[in-house]
Amino acid sequence: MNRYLIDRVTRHLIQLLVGLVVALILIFLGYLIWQGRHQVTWTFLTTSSEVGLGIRDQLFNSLYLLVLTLLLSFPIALGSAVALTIYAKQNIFTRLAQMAIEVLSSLPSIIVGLFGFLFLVLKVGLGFSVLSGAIALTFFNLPILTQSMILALKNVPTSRLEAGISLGVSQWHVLLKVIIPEAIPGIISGIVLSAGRVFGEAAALIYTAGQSAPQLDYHNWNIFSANSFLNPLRPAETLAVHIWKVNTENIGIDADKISRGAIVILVVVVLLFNFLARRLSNYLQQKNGGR
Amino acid sequence: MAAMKQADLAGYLNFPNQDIALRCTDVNVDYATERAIFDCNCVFPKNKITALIGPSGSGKSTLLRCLNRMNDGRAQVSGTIDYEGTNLNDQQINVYQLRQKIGMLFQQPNPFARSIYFNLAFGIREHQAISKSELEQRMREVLEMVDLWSEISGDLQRHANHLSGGQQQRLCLARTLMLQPDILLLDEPASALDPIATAKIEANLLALKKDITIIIVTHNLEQAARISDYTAFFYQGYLVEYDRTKHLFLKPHQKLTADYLAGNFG
Ligand SMILES: Nc1ncnc2c1ncn2[C@@H]1O[C@H](COP(=O)(O)OP(=O)(O)OP(=O)(O)O)[C@@H](O)[C@H]1O
Ligand SMILES: [Mg+2]
Repeated sequence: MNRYLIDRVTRHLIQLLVGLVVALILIFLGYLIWQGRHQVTWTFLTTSSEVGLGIRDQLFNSLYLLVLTLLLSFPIALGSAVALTIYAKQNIFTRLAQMAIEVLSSLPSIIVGLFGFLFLVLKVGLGFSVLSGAIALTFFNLPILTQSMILALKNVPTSRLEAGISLGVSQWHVLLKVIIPEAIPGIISGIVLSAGRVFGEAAALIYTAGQSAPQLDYHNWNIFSANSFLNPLRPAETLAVHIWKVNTENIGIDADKISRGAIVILVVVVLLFNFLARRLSNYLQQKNGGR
Repeated sequence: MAAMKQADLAGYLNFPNQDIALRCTDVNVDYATERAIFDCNCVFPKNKITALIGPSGSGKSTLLRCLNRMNDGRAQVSGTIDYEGTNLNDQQINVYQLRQKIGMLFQQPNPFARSIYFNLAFGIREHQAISKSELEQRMREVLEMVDLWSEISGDLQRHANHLSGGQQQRLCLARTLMLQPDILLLDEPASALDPIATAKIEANLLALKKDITIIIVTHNLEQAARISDYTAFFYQGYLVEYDRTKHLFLKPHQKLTADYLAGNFG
């Protein structure tokens, strides 16, 4: 066989494999959405599971937990990414931190969940609550968020730092006003992608945020009140946990309907996050990078 | 090897202080693993262009970076570097103020990936309160100094990435000029540029000389001969010979210098 032919064959083979993967994903997602298409109604989205066949509170809980998790993990991740890329030279400390990040990112999420249960729920006494869940999810989220921010910061040439410093500006200000702004497209897509993961996570939440979704009052803004939607110390079953629960408890014919509908919402939201991440980072790159 | 330099330097080291912008005395520079500059004594005359030449790894960049403390955190610098009556190598010196007075330009153009306006405003806004009109006035002045104003037709909002390499380098030059420095340090500023862009930078430097002392590292010997008044030849961390450019190129005193100029070693 001549080289030209080999080249063509391998190229077609690769195209075929890529096509196969894409087809597999499309079939998989298509099937899930097709299955639940009749379940997703306005009533389904706006009814509490306590009084009917709805997922209103679970959907809100998922979003609330997501926001809290990001609020907790974003500053920590950005701080460690900056410390590891800009400030620290390669030494034992940074290698240790890198290793910790890698270990943490390969930890099964059920372990994170059990740690949350033993430490946050029991020892610290936060109980099954939004806060316990958010902290557990922070542990779960931190490694990949930090990794993606390290990547975003490393994409900014170090010559920028040198340029800023040579203008008599402190390293800290160059970082704040030049390096981080330039890394924002990467940072944002990292956040949104990790948001998708957090939104779909169940195992880390079962024993931390709990498996019950008390009916919430969306007009009660008093965060200390038990049925306030904002209360961070109330138990908060999320969408993903809800799917897991209705399926394991098997409460008859409705379980099937609920989980099919909930899956559609979960998949759509996660896809939306991914789509958004792409659009936003492309847009910012164009605006910022001038390419 | 340390002995040979003294003979050639003696006259210049006695230059009166008012003619000298920077004076290095017994400067040694150590990286973690090795010494890169050995007992350097030299002067950089005011409002002149001094070229630093020598083979790769001879310590030119290392010495240049001592002159505005860009070696802080990278290398240990000992000795004194006199600048307007103070030792700028003193740890008590305010390096942020110092670097405004002694600016630097690098081999690769490194504009911030933002507008020309942002690039020019960044440094100065960090240091002083300046009105918008005064700021824009000064932007125009420095862009005219580097012949960029007309090339961008006065459009300060243009993105720095949309400039050519040569224009980017001149923008970086303008960026340091915004701070009205006394001294400019340039580390092979034209080695990434084509001959035409190089000629433009050289013309800019010659024009700037009347206000600013310029010290330039270059591998391009013709460039050194074209624009510099004084030349320092470095070899393996030693300043081997220092002289008026004309003398050094026509009648080098050291055999090493002669060999290097003749291209007898890389
Ligand atoms: N960050 C560093 N850490 C350790 N050693 C270094 C570092 N930078 C430079 N050196 C060493 O110091 C010596 C002088 O390097 P320097 O960069 O000053 O040379 P140069 O004359 O500018 O060379 P070139 O013409 O290639 O730019 C070299 O031996 C180099 O290996
Ligand atoms: Mg160099």
